[in-house]
Amino acid sequence: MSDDAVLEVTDLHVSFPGEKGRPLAAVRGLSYQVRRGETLAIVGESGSGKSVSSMAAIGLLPTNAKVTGSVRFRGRELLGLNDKEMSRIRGAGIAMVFQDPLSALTPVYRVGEAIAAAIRVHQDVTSQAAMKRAVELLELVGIPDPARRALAFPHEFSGGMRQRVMIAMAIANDPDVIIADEPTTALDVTVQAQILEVLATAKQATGAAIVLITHDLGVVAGFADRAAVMYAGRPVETAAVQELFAAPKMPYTAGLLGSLPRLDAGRGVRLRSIPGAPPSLAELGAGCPFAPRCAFAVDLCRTTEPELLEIGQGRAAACHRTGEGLDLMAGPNGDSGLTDQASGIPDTADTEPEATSDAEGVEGALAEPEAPTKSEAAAVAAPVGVAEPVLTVRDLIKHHPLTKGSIIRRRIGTVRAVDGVSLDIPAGTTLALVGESGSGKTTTVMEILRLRTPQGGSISVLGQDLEALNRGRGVRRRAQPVRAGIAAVFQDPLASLDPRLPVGDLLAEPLRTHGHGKTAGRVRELLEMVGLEASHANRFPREFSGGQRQRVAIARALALEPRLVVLDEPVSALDVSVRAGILNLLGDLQRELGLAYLFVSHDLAVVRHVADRVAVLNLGRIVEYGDADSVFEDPRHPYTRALLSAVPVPDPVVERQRERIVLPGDPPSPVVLDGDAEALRGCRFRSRCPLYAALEKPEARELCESTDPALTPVGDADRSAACHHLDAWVPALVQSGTVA
Amino acid sequence: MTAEGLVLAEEETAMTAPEPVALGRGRIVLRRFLRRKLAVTGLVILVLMFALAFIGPYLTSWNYKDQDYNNFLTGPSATHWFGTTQIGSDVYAQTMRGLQKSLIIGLLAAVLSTGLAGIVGATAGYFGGWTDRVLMWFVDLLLVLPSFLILAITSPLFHGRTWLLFVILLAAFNWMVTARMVRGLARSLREREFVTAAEVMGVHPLRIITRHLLPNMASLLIIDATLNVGGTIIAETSLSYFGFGVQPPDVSLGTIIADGTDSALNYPWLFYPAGILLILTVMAVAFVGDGLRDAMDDAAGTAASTSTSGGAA
Repeated sequence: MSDDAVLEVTDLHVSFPGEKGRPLAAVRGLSYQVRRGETLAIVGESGSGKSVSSMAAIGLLPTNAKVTGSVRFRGRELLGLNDKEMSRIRGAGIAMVFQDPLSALTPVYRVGEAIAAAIRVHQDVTSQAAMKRAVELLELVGIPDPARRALAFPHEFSGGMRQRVMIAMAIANDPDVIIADEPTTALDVTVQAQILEVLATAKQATGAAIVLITHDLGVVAGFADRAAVMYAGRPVETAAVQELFAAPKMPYTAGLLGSLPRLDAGRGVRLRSIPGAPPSLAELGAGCPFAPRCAFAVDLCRTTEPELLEIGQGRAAACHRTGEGLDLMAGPNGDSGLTDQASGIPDTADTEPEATSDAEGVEGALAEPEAPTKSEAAAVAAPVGVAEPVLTVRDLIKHHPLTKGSIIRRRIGTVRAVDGVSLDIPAGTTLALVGESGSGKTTTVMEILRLRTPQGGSISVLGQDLEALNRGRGVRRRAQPVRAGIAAVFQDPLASLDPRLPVGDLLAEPLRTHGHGKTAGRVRELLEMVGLEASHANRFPREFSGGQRQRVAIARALALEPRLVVLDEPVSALDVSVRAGILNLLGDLQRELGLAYLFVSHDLAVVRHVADRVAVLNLGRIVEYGDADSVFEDPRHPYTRALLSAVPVPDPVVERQRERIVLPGDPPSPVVLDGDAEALRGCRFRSRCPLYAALEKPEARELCESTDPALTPVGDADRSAACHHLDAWVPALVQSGTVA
Repeated sequence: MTAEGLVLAEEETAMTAPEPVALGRGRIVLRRFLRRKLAVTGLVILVLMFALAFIGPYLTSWNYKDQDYNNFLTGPSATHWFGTTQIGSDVYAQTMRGLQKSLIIGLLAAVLSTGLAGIVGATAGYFGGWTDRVLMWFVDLLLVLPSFLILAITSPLFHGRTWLLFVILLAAFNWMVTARMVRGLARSLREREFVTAAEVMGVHPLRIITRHLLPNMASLLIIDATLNVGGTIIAETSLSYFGFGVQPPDVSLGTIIADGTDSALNYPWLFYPAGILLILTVMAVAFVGDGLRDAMDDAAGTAASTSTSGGAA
C-alpha cells in the first residue's frame, strides 16, 4: 500500500445474527484504501453490503453486528475503539453524508446551530466563532444568503439545500475522509448535478478522500477515480474508473454496464439483462454467488467461490475465468455487433447488443430470440401519425386549492399541478412524459386513469371523450369498456399489489371485474407471457423478488388485452441489474401485442431507450414535445438541454468531456399564492433559465418577463417547444449557467 | 341446529366474516392455519365444547329445570355428577345448558359486532365525505347512549322471545369503538397504491372494501372478535345478574358463576365446572384467532421477518 492512504480497510467482515441462529454475513472480506484527494466509489445493488461496510468502518452499526478485520485511519486501528474514542474521530477525521438529509438533520435545531455544534464538538472555539464559521461553510456549499438561512430550520429547506447543509456539516472540521452514502439518490437529476459539484468543491476545499457509496454507475463514471464493485457482500472487482468501464473483468460488472439504458444510445436497442435477482444473504451457497446469473459460469464456479485476485496495477477481479481473455461485453456466444444498428443510434462503439441469455426465461415464452432488426423497429415507428390516437389530451388543467388552518380552513393559494397539458398517443407507440418532482407527471397520469371529467381541457381515451362519458346515468357501466382498454403499472410493485392476495387472485381480479368467468387458463397464460411460471399463482407478492413482482404487475395490466398501458416509473424502484429485463419485456410485449405506452419517468436514460416521442414537463406545462430521437439529439428548450446534460452517462470518457449545464436552484414549486399575480406573469421557467440569465438585450428579457411562451412548432412538423428565444442558444451560454 | 352443523357454520363465519370468499386465498390460509398446532388444538377444544354442550344434556337423566328434593347442596356423586345447588338442581345439567347458551351468545354476538364494525368502519373510511360523516354521527350517537340502560329498559319487551334478539342487542352496543378504529385504518389504506390500482381497473367499490380493505386489517378484526367473545359472555353475565338477559329458570355460564361465587369456597362444585368451561372456551377462541391471524399474515409474508432483505441495506 502507499503511505498516504488515509483510510485503509483490510479484510472487513460484518455479520448479523440471523433469524434461524445462522449468522447473516453482510460483508465478506472487503479491502480498500483511499488516499487524500481521491474518490473511491463503492458500487453495488441493494443487499450488496456497500452501506454496511462503511457503517462498520465508522462504528455506527448496531451492537449485535459482529465486525472483524481491520479499519485503519491514518495508521490507527479503529475497530475495537470504544464509543468515546470513536466519537472523537467521527465528524472530525471521518465525516458522513447520508442519503436522506431530512432524517439526518435534527429538526429542532436551526441549521447554523447544528453546524456550529458540530464544530464545537471537535474544536475549542466560542459559539460566535463557530456560528461565523457555519455561515462561511454554508456559503461554500452554495446556500444563497447564508447568514439569514443559517437561522432557518431543516424543514424550511428543499431536499437539495438540505443535502448541501449536510455537506457543509461534513466538512466543518476539515475531515480527511468523507463517506457519502447515496448522497444524490433521493434528488432530482438537476439537483443531483448541483450536489455532485458541491461535493467536488468540498473535496477541493478540504483535500479529503471521498468514499462514495452508490448504485448509480453514471455518477461513478463522472465523479470517482477508482471503484470497487460489490456483490453479495464481497468485492468482485476493483479498478480505476476508466479501466473498469472500458474493460470490465468480472461478468457481473460487465452485465451491469451492459444492462444500463444509456442516454447516448438509440431507441429500441435491446439491453443485455442479467437473469435472476441478487441473492439473499441467507441463501448463499458454496460457489460464486453470481454463478446462477452468470452466462460464463463453469462447473468450478458453482463449487468454489473465487478469490479477489490482483490482475494488474490497482486492478483486481474475483472470477475463475479472468485469465481466459473472454469478451465479457459480448455474451458467451460472441454474438456482439449483430444488431446494434437498430434505429438511428448515433454511434458509440459499445452500444449493447442483445444477449442470448436473457431475463428469467422471458424470451423462451415470447419466442423472440432475435433483437429488433431495422425493419421491425421501422414497423413500430411507422404508425406514428397514421393510426388513430388511443389517447388525446388537450389543455388539461388540474388545480388543487391550498388551504391553511384546521378549524376554519381558508384558501391561501392554488397548487397548479397540471396547467395546460396536451398529448397524443397513436396506437402502438410510446410517449414518454419526463420531468422532475413536482412537474405534474403523476397528476396528469392519474387524471387520465381515473376517467373523470377533467377540471379543464379535455381527455379522450380510446376515442371516448371523458366529459361525454361522465355525463348522464350509468357512468360506471359505460366506463367499463374504456377501463378494460387502458391499464396501469405503478412504480413500486410491492405497494401496487395487494399483499394479502395470492398472485393468481391478483391476476384474476381484472378478469372477474370485467365479467370473464373462467380465469385459471388466462392467469397461466399471463404468467407465462411475462416470464413467470404457472405455479407462481399460489404465491403471495412478498415471496417474489422486486423484478418478478413488477412482472406480476405487468401481467395484471395485460389481463384484459388493453390498447394503452400507463407505466408510472415502472423501473425506478428496481435494482439496476433487473431493470434491463423489465425494459426488454416491455419492449417485447409492445411488439407482440401492439400496445401503446404512456411512459412516465424522471430517468432520461430509460426514456431514451423506450420512447418514440417525448413530452418534457415543467411546472405542469409541456415545455418541449416531439420525436424522441430529435429531442434527445437536438434539444431546443433550455430546460430540456439542462435536464439532458445533468444525466450522468456511464462512461467516464464521454462523461468527463461533456459540457454540463447546471441549473441554479431547486425545481420550483407549483404553488401560487392568492394575490401573487407576479408568479403568473411571463415565462415560469425564467428563474432557473440559463438562457434568460444570458440574454443581453433588455427587450428580449422583457419578453420573458411579460409573456408566457406558448408551445410553438419548431423545425420539422412533429416538434414543438415553449420558449421565446429558441434561436438564441449559443454555446457561450454554457459557461455562464454553471454556477449554482 | 345440530352440534356439527353449528360448528361448521361457526367455522365458516369465523373464516369469512373478516375475510370474504376468495377461493385462492381462502384455501391457502386454511392450509397454513392447519399447520399451526396451537390453533388446531384450540379448534378441537371448541368443537369438543360444542359437542359437550349439545350432547352432554342427553347423558344424564336430569333436566336443568328439575329439582331433586332429596339432595340440596350435595357434592359430586354418581347421581349428580357435579353435585346439586341450594334448591336441588343438578349442576351438571345446568352447566351444560349454560354452556350452550354462552357459546352461542358469545360467539355469535362477537362475530356480529366485529362484522358490523368492519363493514360500517370500512365503508365510512373508504368513501369519506358525507357517507363518512353520517355514519360517524350515528356511531358517536350510539357511543353516548347508555347501552346498559337501554338494554335494561328494552329487555322486558323481549321476554319470551328468542334469545337471538338478545344476541343482536348485545352486538349492537358493542361495535362502535372498533368501527372508529376500522375507519381510521380504511382511510390510510385507501391511499395505498393497490387500492388506486383496483379503482383504476374498475373494481366495484364494495368489492374493494371486502376484498382489499377488510383483509388488510384482518389482524385487527380477528383480535377484536377474539376479545369480544370473552367480553360478550361477561356482558351477558352482568346483564343476567341484574335480571335482564337470560332469565331463570334458564341459565347461562354467567348466571351459574354469578350464583356460585358467594359459596365458591364452601361449595366449590357450584362454581368450578362453569368457571373452568368458560376459561377453556375463551382460551380456545384466542388460540383459533391467533392461528387464523398468523396464517393470514404468514400467507401475506408480513409476519415472517426472515425474508430476503437480510440486514444489509
